[in-house]
Amino acid sequence: MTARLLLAVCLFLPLSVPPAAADTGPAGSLKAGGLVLGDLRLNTDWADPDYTLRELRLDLFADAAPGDDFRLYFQGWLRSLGFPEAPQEPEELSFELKEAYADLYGFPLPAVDVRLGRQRIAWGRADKISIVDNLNPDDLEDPWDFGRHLASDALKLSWYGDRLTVQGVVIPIFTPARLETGDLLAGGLPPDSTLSFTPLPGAAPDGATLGVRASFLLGNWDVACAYIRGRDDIFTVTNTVATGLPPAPLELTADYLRQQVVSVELSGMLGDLGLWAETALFVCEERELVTDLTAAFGPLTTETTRPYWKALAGLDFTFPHGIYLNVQVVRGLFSENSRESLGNYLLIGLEWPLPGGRVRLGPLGLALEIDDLENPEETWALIVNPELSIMPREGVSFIFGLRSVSGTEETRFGRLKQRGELYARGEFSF
Amino acid sequence: MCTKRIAAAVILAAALFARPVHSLSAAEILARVDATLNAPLDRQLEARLILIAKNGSRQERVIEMLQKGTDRRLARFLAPADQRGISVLTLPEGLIYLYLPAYKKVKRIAGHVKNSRFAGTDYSYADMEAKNYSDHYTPALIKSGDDFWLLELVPRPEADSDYARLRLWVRSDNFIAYKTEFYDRRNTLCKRLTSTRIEKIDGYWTAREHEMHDLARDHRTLMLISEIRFDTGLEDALFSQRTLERQ
Repeated sequence: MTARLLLAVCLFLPLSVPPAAADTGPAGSLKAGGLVLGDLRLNTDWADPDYTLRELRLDLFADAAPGDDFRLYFQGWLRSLGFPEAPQEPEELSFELKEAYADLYGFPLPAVDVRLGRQRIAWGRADKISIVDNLNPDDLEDPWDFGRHLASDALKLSWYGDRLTVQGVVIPIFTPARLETGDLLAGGLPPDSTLSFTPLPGAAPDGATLGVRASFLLGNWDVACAYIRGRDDIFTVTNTVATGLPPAPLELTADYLRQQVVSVELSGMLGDLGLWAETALFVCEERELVTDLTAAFGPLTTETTRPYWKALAGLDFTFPHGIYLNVQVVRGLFSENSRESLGNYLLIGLEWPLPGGRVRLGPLGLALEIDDLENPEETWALIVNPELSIMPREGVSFIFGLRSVSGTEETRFGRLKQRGELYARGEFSF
Repeated sequence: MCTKRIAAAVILAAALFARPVHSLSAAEILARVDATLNAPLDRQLEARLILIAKNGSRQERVIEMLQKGTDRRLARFLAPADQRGISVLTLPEGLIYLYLPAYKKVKRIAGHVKNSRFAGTDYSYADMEAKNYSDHYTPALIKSGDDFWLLELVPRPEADSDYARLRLWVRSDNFIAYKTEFYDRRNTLCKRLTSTRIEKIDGYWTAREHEMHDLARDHRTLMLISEIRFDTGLEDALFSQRTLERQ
């Protein structure tokens, strides 16, 4: 199938499928459906307008339950994706298997459910940006889609007690994070440097990730404690070597370090206010990080990796007329993996559904970054993201918005300063 | 000692239900309304929710709902496609959990949603909760007709209600409230619920159609129950995060 045919299918589906025909099989046996998504983003450089991303995607799922205690699930993306930095041929399509797993309920014990296969395992209480959601690798392909993850080939066992749930997860093969095309992370690397990686670990035990999580109700609070032993899915530069005097390039060697993560999360309410908090201690393997600039008549320095903390707290509230406010304070984003790289973030979202239910305003989407609280003037960045959603009929939505970035360019958000954009996204679910 | 208490309770209940309906007090009528409303041990239903805006435009949702007693409920959206699989679990002690299939995550919901609209309908989360009116309201008999009573319910001081008062029209033959008016905290009539197609199903009086009219927005929600079953033996364990995660 070519992208043109995909486009034809995507355009035809919204016109042809009535909303009531969403379920294609008898309840409990087979369900299938999907989503057609079109996403077009344009830069805000009025002198040189160009797209920053274009995506056409057909998202399909099938959910079969042959029996009460057995279920199969599949989800895949067929898409055409293009960035200015890596434009995909218009006719080029890619398929991505997002999830494919089997569930066994009440096996091998009545209180145990098993899920085997490619799956998303979302731990954490926070909305989108969770610092304890560390089992699946980060998917940083789209820098604006915070919190997106790849699924992992895994075995998950869940034991359900009266007020206690325990999950155990094994991911036998390590997969690194998918980095942004463009590259938000590489933006932090010196220009003209060459980057090589130590070979990826193979299957278990060296490359395996193990996780266990206990969640329970303590008073009126939902609490969970988790432990993960695996590898950091974001690389760490372990060696930096100057090859000569500038402008000779730097040779960088990177590795995915072993790490252990211990985390605690809770959620509950205070009065009518929804509250949640997460904290995690990241202990990575002790490694010497060497910077050898002697060839450029510079110093030879070493430092050792150190454990670091991340923390997050959030609240939400619904005002009269359905106006919804969500505020989160974060120390350390998902892609920050050393004590020195941790930034401080304040994220505010406001949604205002207009009467009739067809239009929703997101007039206030703010993300403020301050990396050094003692020096905020030189370490701040602000993303402003107002948005308008229109739902003209069941299952169809159009979203229009603007992302504007200001601040100093040394910050994580500030590196996106040239990436301000207007965007339009259409979705049809069937 | 325990046997004596049970016997006393049975005698009291028998006395209450044996009295001629025309001599019942407001509290007794409300107790009978509660008893009728909450008589089934559990129920399973599927309903179409039709949202009708002021300009006549319509949106439709289909939900499946399981309920046990008055404090365990699981609602799951079957349609439209973009809401399919979204589930709300209500448990004792005011615990509410939301499952969003797109995020594969169970999220705790705080009390602030109780007075917000349920999935864009004219019902609030609190309106959708199973009720025992007598626990939360003090009733007064306003009018007694040939075949109905009109009760006015004022929230008890300790009750957490978004309404200043309710007015219930109750049929005297089966104790079903066929019309309810909701007054907001400014004592303005804000919503009206009308229940029709009142039938006896599996021995329980039930309204199969409800219309909630938000008078301020002139927006209506029709709830049409297509399928309903009672006392199927739903287990407590079904009302759990485990059920939410099995999606």
